[in-house]
Amino acid sequence: MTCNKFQEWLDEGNSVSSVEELPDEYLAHVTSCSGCQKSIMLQSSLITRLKNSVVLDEAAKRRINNKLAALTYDAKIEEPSLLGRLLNRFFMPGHRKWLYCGVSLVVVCALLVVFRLSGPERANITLFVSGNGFVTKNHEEIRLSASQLPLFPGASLKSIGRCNIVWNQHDQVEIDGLAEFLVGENRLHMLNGKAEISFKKSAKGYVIEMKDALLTVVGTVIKLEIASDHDYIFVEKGRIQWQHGRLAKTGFLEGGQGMRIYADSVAEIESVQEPVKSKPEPDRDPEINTISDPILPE
Amino acid sequence: MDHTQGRPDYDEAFLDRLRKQDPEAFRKLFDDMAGMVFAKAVVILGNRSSAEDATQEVFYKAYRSLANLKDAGVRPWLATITRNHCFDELRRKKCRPCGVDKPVDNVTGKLHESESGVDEILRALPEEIRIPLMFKVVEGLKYSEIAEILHKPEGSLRNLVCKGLKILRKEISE
Repeated sequence: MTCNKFQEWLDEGNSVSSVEELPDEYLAHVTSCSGCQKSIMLQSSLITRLKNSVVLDEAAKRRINNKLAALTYDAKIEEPSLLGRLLNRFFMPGHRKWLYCGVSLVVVCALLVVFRLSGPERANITLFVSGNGFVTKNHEEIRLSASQLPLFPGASLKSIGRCNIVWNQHDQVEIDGLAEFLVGENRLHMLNGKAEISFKKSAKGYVIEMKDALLTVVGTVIKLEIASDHDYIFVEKGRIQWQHGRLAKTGFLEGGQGMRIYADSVAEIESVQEPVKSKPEPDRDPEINTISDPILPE
Repeated sequence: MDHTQGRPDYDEAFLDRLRKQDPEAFRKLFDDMAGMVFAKAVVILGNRSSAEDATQEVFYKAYRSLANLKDAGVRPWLATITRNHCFDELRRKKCRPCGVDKPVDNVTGKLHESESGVDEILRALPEEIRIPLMFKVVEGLKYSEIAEILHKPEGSLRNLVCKGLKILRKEISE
């Protein structure tokens, strides 16, 4: 046995509280070697101090216990049900959530009742289309006739002559020309073609969307054309508010005024002469010709 | 006193009370096991202040999952929670600047007495030396067990422990 051998044993992390506890193979050497005795005492002292450093003293234990008791006690009385936890997570804590829950349920029920009761009224917002043209319904093209065909907003309309759209049995738009539209609840999206459009009664606020222009109707009779590079607008009667579809430009056109709106340029008002007004067509449907006076903005 | 030894013998009735989060049973569990949890936390984290927080966290985590307590044993279950929590904490601390948690007594505001000695030196040891050293000399684990926990070869661990002991011996004798 040598000092080095004993040192290796110490370096393994081994220790004893007294020399007598050493294994026999080391005892004989250590009792006769003061250096190794010192080493084993130092190692023992070191390991005792390390072990003492991990002992939890009473003060620390009390502190942890106090905090823990508060936490676990709170957790005990606050432990909510699954529904409660979800409500806590997404809405609010406490008893108020049940009140809000109840109120929300009542509101939803009330809305459902109103929705059901207003069924017949709802039917009134259905569009009715008549005249000369086609509508696409369930991917099927239907030829229009003089009788009113009910449609829901979003229908596609192709006018090949004169067409009449009626909302709520009151508001009417009359289209005369060869053009294609998507019909909305208070919006007409003109896809292509050329048409004269007349508004009756309370069509104020109705919107016509063209390729580059967006028109808000104030009560008027207008002529529209979607050309390859511009939208052409001419107001026959009343007044219209125009807006460039992409540029932040807007303005009004009065009766007798017209303009062209180009894709990338600011709209320019032209002193356009009213297009050659053809003579009143004798074969026009007299009912459709009765266009009311425009309603001007207040 | 070695808090890593001395396993309390919990019967099935006591485990049932624990599963139902009975406050008295939980208090007893804390009394029995707080020392062991704290010791393991100091071994891994290297200072008493962090270990105190970790002990609280471990028992709180344990309390919240008491319903899932298996019959396999409370002590190994708590030891696993402690080890996982402390290693997670170490990983988090690596992102923080050094010296953020100075070991200050919560009540007196003074440095903990026992930390002014060995703990100061321990903190000077690199983590990769300190943890195997503490596992070996404080917890009394075999090298094979430490190798399993730290996923390191036994030979490397022996070298690290030897290196750590040399540093500590030198520091203490100076």
